[in-house]
Parts: sequence; structure tokens; C-alpha cells
Amino acid sequence: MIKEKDFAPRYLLGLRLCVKQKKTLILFAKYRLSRSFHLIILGLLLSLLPSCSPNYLKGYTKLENTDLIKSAVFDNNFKKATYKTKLNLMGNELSGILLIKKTSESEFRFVFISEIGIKYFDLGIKPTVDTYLETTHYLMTALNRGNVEQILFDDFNKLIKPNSANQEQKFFGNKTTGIIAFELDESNSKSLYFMDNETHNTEKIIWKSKISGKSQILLSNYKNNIPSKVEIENKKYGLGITMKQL
Amino acid sequence: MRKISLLLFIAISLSVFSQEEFILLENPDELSKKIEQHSKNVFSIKSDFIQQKHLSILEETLESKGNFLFKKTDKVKWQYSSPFDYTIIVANGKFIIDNEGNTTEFDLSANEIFRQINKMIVTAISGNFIGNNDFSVVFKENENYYQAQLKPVEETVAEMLESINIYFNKENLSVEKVKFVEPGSDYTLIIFENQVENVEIDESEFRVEGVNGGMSE
Repeated sequence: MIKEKDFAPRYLLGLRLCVKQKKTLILFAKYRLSRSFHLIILGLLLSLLPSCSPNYLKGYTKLENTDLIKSAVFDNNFKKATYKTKLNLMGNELSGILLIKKTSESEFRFVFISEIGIKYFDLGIKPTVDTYLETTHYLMTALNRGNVEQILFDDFNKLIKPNSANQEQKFFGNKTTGIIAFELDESNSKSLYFMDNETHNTEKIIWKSKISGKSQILLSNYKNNIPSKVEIENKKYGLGITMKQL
Repeated sequence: MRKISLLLFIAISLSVFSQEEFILLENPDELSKKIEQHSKNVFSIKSDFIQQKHLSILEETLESKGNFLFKKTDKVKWQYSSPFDYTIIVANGKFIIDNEGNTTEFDLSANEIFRQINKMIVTAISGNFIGNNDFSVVFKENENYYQAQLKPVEETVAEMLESINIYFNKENLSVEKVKFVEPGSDYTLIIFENQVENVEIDESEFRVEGVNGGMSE
């Protein structure tokens, strides 16, 4: 008795990534097409595989021996900023004012209050070379669930994280757009910081973590070195923050 | 000369301090009756307001401004115009928020926190807290104001608010300031200015277009 797998080319038997594609090739095998035709089809399918995952560095080339330095969105010269803010958590929206203030040489505070003055959270972060020290000064009971607190800390830390010459990082450049991408190893995951090489403003941060999934921060309309608009998205957890500077 | 300057400075400081310092009222029942009577005679309030959020540890004050409407028995409208446009309307058992054109509506009975917040606001503004079992009340006074210090009895409210301090003008008993004190010494101070009592307020003030596909009351 002839089984279906007997028709499949041997080089397909171990391929388990794309079941649909494999079935298609098996179909072709049933019609006893030539081995060279199988190779052409396989080549085409394999060339399509990388497009299954987004290529954030398309159009970028790796830069070697560069003295580029990634600057923090809110750096050492930053004092404070207030943003009209909307926080979406799994379909529920909280709105108000987010105050970001550098309270000491090493600490930043993120305080979110409603329009009528009710405090949602007051989080303190001291960024360090590899990670950060967190202090929850206040977190409203409604927000104190699951990984919300940790995700907020992770998100905000991305905005204040200083550059470290000791940290392993790779540099990529896009000649067309003039954007420099920094790839950093952070908390067991890789993060990409996209910075305009001319203005040194960070325009986008992309990372993936176990708790928040694929996440990104978009920053735009810089005024006095501070972004007027900040959009934070943590898709897996359904937690998004939109900030417009007041 | 230096000593005299120092003494003068201390004397002025003490004088300012004493103006701010509140002492327990000797005859609270008398004031309580006056406030109750005044509250009964107030049917509506129209006023401008300044809201100051004091974050003590951060040494920051976030200020917003707008106008305020109150109509008996429980209709309230806060319309913020600076530094953002934001309106809250509480009327007929609904809590409506207009956030820069995006309107959302909550049913007060279904949302305990909103219900409590509204109750506190109406209680504070209207001065209608006499005999209210949700708060324990202590009356104090200084040179310019009577102060009613309300402490919430409900545990969930007490988690958010340590006390509500209501400042009454000593001459006409109108509410001039309300201070919402949080645990940990941060507070929100609302200062009412250009206040007019018993002015005609149209019902349309408590409606917002676009809620539930049309006009909402």
C-alpha cells in the first residue's frame, strides 16, 4: 500500500514549520512532477518564510566601529513634563494628567491623576545600567491586578533608560531615512531603539517580553527635546497609553 | 537691630499662622443648624472654580480651571476649560463624561465608586451633610472661615480620602473652598470664585449631545 508520505520528497519530510505549504508540495508530488520543479517550489517557499516575522530592520545596514550613543527620551537635563493622558486597560479607559518629574540625580516619578484630582498611580523609577529599581508610592486598587504594575514600570523605564557603553549593543543605519537603530539586550529580550541621527530624538522603541508580548512606544512632535506625543502599546496585555503634552 | 528684626519676623509669622490655624468650635450645634437652614434655602449655585492638586512630596501643584453648576437636588456639572476641555455631568442617576468630544455615560447605581464620589461632591458643595451617616463631622473655625471636617465612615471611601474639609464664609455661609485630603498628605483644593446662589439654571446644561445616540439627560 502506498502512503501519502511516500510521494513526498524526502527533503520535505522533516519540514514542520508550514503545514499548508508542505501539503501543497505533497500534492505536487502526487502528480509525479520532476525533482527540479520541487526544488524551485521549495526555494520559493523558503524565501517567503522570513516574511512570517516582521523585519524591523529592513533597509538598515549594520554599522561597525561607531561612536554613536543612544540618548534617553527623558535624559539628565530633563526636569518635568505634564501630559493629558489616556490609559486603556483591556477595554476600560482611564484619563487624566500624567506628571513626569526627575526628583533626584537618579530617580524619576510618574504620577497619573484623574481630571478631578483622584490619583491612579505614583511610580518611582531609578534606572541602572542593566535594569532599574522600582518603588510603588501608590497604585489604585483597580489597577493593582495581574502584571499591570510590572508592565507600567517596564514601559516607563524604556523612556528614561540611560545609555551604557558597557552594555552589549549593535548599531544599524538607514541611509535613506537617516535613522539609527540600537539593538540592546534588556531583561532577557532584545529591544530596538530608533533614533534620528540628526536630531538625536528617539522616534520608536520596539521590544518583546513574556508578560507584555510585542510592545512599542511611538514618540513624535519633539519640542525643546521633549516628545509632545507618546503612544505606548502592549498588545498581548491590552494595555495602551496615549500621552499629549500640555 | 538684628534682634528686633527677628522678633518682628516671628511675630508676623505667628500672626499669619494663627489666621490659618483652625480651632474646635465651642458651639457646633448652633453652626450646624445655621448651615442646615442655609442649605435648605439654596436651590442652585453657579460659580467659577480653580482646582489645585497638591503633590506634597513632589512639591508640585497641578492647576485646572473651569465653571461649576449645581441644581437641587443632585444635578452637578463641572466644566474644565484649562488646561484641557473636560466636562463631568451628574444628573438623574447618570454620570456623563465629555472628554474633548468623546462622551461616555455610566449608571450611578451600577458604579459604587462614582456614586460615592458624587455623593461626596454634592454633600460638600451644598453643605448638606448634617445628619449624614456616611461621614463623621467636626466643626472648627479661624478668623475667616468655619470649617467642617468630614471623615468618611465607609472603608472603601476612607482608602481614597482621609477627610473632606469644607470652608464656609463666616458672613454668608457660602462654601468658598473644599479640600479633599488623601491619605499621605496629598490633597485637592477647589476654590470657588464669582459664586452666585439661586440663579436660574436651564435643564439643558445637564445634557450632552451624542450620548447613547442622541441627547441624554
